Amino acid sequence: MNEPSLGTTVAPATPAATPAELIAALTDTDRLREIGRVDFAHPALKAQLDAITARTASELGLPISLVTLVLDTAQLVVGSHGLDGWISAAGGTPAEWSFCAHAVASGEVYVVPDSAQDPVQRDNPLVTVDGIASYAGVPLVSASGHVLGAHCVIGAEAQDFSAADLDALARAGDEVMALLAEYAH
Amino acid sequence: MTLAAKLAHVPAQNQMTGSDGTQNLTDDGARRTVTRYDLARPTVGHVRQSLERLVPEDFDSVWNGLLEESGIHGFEQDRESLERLLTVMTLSVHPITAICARAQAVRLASFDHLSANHPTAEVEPPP
Repeated sequence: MNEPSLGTTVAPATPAATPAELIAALTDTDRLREIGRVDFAHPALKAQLDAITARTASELGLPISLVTLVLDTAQLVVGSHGLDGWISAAGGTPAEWSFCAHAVASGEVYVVPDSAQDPVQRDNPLVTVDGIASYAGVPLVSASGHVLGAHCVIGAEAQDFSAADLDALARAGDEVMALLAEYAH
Repeated sequence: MTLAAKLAHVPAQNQMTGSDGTQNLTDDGARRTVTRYDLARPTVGHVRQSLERLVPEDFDSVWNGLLEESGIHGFEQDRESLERLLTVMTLSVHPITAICARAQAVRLASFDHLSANHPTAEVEPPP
């Protein structure tokens, strides 16, 4: 990742959505219908999303980057770099463990510099068992204003994210959203 | 109630009850949970609850149509019934139904992969 230095803004941890906000956002049927219009299983789309995640991971110097679509009870991983193990095999995770769901619910960037110290995420099994130590994700907002998912990076160690990191993530998120729109019918 | 519990909670009336009044907790592992993750295997009842939340006004017609197409009664807890229901839902022209099925399929796949590598335990029956 871009090393925060003197004079470089470090993005603070952002507040997580409340359970009520999460449920309201995840069960928004207009949002889900829009996700349903995306041909997210198309191999060409996956290849392009994988390429973006590989570039994002490299730019931010982190091992994992994902593109997710957050459904009502689960998140789908539709593009990824550096992901293996059960999440890759299952194609996603239950929604209640999804960091990206918080970006979906708030429509804002969601940053967790140190998951083990974060009051919302410290008991998340993706943290306690699978070892997610840090996270930054930007919402994927469609032209109609629905937040379909997130583009994110995941670290195996606690760390700060700089404003430059989040700018790079946001630019890649715009690319991801344009691609998803291209594969929507 | 936690978010996980709200998303995964199955109303008591949807749970299978035996002729002696006891609940069937061992049918194909349906009432088991991966303890380290607190993840229960999805059942037909979980799908029903999701659809009740997503299509409240059309729920009865949507649900009854799905039961008829999949040839189940709606209170089963076995895996085969769940998979038949999800298959029908995935092919549905109703977009919300198909998305709901996709999400439950991810939850089922998550359970399968996690239960293969972590201990599971029988879920406590509701009081």
